Amino acid sequence: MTSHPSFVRFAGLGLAVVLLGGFTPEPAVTSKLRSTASATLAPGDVAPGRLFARDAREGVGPGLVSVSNPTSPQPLAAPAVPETRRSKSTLLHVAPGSAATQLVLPITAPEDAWVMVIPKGSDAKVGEDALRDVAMFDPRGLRADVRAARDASAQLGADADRLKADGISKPIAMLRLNREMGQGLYKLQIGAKAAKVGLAVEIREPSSSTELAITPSALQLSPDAEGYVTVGLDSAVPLERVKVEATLYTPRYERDRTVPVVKVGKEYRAMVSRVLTDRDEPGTWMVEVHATGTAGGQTFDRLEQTAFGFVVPTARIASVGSERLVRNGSGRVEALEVDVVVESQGLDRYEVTGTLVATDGKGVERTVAEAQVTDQLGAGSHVLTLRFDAGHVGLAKLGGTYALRGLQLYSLGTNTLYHRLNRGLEVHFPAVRVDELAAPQMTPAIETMLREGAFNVRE
Amino acid sequence: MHLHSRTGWLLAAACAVFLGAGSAQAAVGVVFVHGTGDQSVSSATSGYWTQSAIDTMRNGRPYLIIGYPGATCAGYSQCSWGPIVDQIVPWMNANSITSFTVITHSNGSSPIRYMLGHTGAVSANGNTVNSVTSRISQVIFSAPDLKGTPLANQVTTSGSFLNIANSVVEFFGGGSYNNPAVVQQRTDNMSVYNSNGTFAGGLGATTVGGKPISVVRGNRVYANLFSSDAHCAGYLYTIGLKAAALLGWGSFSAATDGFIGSDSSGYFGNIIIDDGRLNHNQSRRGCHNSGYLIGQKVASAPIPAPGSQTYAPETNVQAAALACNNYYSAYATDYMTDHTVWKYGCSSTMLNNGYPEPDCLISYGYSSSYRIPSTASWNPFLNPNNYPIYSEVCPDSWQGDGICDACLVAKYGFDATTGSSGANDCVQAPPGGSNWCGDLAYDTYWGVHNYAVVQALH
Repeated sequence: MTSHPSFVRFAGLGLAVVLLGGFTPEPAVTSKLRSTASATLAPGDVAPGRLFARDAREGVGPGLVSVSNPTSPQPLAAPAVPETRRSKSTLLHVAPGSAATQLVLPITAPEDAWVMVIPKGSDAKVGEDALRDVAMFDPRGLRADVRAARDASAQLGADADRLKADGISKPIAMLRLNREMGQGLYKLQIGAKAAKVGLAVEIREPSSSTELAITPSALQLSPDAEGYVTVGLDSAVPLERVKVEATLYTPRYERDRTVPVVKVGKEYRAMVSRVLTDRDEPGTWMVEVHATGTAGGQTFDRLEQTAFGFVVPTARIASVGSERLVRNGSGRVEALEVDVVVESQGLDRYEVTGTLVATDGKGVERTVAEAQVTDQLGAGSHVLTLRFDAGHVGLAKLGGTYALRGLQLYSLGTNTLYHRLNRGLEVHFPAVRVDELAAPQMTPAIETMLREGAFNVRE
Repeated sequence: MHLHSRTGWLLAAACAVFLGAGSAQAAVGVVFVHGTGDQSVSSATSGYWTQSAIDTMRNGRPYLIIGYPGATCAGYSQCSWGPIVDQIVPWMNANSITSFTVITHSNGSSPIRYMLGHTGAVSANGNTVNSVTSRISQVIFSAPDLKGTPLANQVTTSGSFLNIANSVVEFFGGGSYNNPAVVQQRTDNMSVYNSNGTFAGGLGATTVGGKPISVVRGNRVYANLFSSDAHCAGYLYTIGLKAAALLGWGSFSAATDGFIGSDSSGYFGNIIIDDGRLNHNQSRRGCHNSGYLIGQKVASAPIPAPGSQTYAPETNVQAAALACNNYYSAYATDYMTDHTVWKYGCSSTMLNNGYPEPDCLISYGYSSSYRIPSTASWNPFLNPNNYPIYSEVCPDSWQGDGICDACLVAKYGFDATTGSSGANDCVQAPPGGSNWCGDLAYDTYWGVHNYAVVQALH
């Protein structure tokens, strides 16, 4: 890794060029800056809509830092897409301080099913006592927890005597059901002592065909963009009386507000963006989706959660360009540079990152170096220069026309991503041979990577 | 175990220490970053890592134990990575450290990933992350939480610390069940942090931020009650982590170390240890040879690929007892003297009679308050008076010789040679077969205790 020696805040492109005294920028293939305004978004791209004028209060501080790093010549990773999370389980709660009560556990597929009875809190001993105050009965009214606990312990393989000798005899109730116990509504009797402690009761039915699947519409949402969580319910048997509810949790996992759910065709959508505004804190929010109803006449209950990023963007990448080769006095290429114009509406410590790729003999783009430039910027238009150390670029021995990929703008004040252009607006540097590139400054990290063959091109 | 092999290890370790001392003069160091938990330097040293594990892993190099609020601050928060930066900078300056290896455990990977991805971030003391990352030579993530753990989802949604033998409580740092570091480790949240650039490192990457990344991980929770591998670093942790495998991954035999799934620990990096007998607690304590191998990696010495790594045979008293019918008393013939001997066996009364009964030690691993493996003077298997016909007392050369020697089991916990194909003398023969067994017995002809060799029929 090498750092740009300058620690001076760039005021503009002109100043940037002045600071490059001693190096000769080669005439660029194209000197114009490409605007992001008309850019077509590729999969995984993130683009801010409206910018908000607010200053970051944390994680800010002055000083420009410019860093270049070599990378292993690997193909570019596939763009990240929102994950689908699936559930054949649910979770019921008895709040701490409750009175003795009875829970009804809907079991549609008892074979391989588990019921976990988990005391609330952090005191193992209190929880252990609470569990002695809980009993489970199958749909026929027969006591089922003793047999189910024995089956679970047998699978765990724990030495009960050994645990008891260490003061632990029943740290958690894991109940293993079986087909003979039957499907239907089980009853969990919770005595006064257990109810006072509070319980979480998880039901897992891996053999059930009824599955809840939820997928955010995007990896991150912003106040001006429509965003939702798609809710799907699959089952081998007809589903009836289906009810879907959604709840938002803050980045601190605090239960926050209800999310409206609409039905669109066969699926449901939890309309998250309708309840979030720019007054909400940026970060990673979570949505809990709860689906109930009947499956083939049997009551089912499913629960799943997912997360999404929520940003209130204060800046964007406005344009990119003026890519150039910087040569030293002997004609060797010292660096590959490209300017990134950042438009900001508020004070923050902004970070621009880009990855340089080369194309191998088979036409596969492989990463060769990455560069990052960070500075504290206020409202206005600013030029930040990504500087790829030519020594790093040459380690993979892949020459030719290098391209900029994975261009992104990140806010260190809010730890959120504001802008990402995976294709980097198709910035390509002038063609250069590997032997034109300056030798790398060796570091222990580069020596280790060379020793381990990290720069070898692998199929 | 081959004596030659053990000697080789000792020599290698001695050489490594020597090299380490040399490297220390060149100011090449090691930094240890703990996982979830608010640790001081002192608690991280003695409670989280332990000095012996640290010494094994640092391999003679100068080192720094980091203490930081790893529970009340998520890995991306300045209050997490900031103190790490602010401790490393003065350490580097005071010790002229030119480069160093970072070793993390568990969620200690997260602040380091943040630092590798955000070199221009500035700590509370005004140090740029780059001032530290520029001197990192390599990163070794031990049991890293790279994609989150479903146990974090479990504790936050259930509002409980899942008090299984206290194991999960400790690995989430105690305190509140939804502290920021736990919430950060939810799998859905980690998916966001991995995709939006908060944490550096993508699927399959071998270098991150210009640094080579190595991963040490376990992939099973091995909880054989009679196994030393299971007991390393504490049996209760092991059994708790096995239960956690069911809670988090739906199976006792899931691909997990009990706290981190293999999909998470293997998200990126070069996997240098991939061990079925290295649970989440053990991977910070150097168990199952992992500490030695990490030390080798720190010294840039070559280490075998995970599939070629070999281990000392585990302590397994149960197997020896079953192979030799040591639970039961009976008359037998000593094939060394052709005398009739009385095999003591181990009744429930003998097990707790206050004496180190030989067959109780072998059958259960203990007898009253005495426990094996042990080389203590009370160990009856090491008493020369019990070997009247032998010139040596239980020599190591008896390992792997085809006779399951109770004395070796009592001394080391196993009777086998090392290596992937090492002969194990104490594998029980199938029904209808027999094992040859060496054990203390009462020689009825001479009227003395003697180390007899008998045949155990099955």
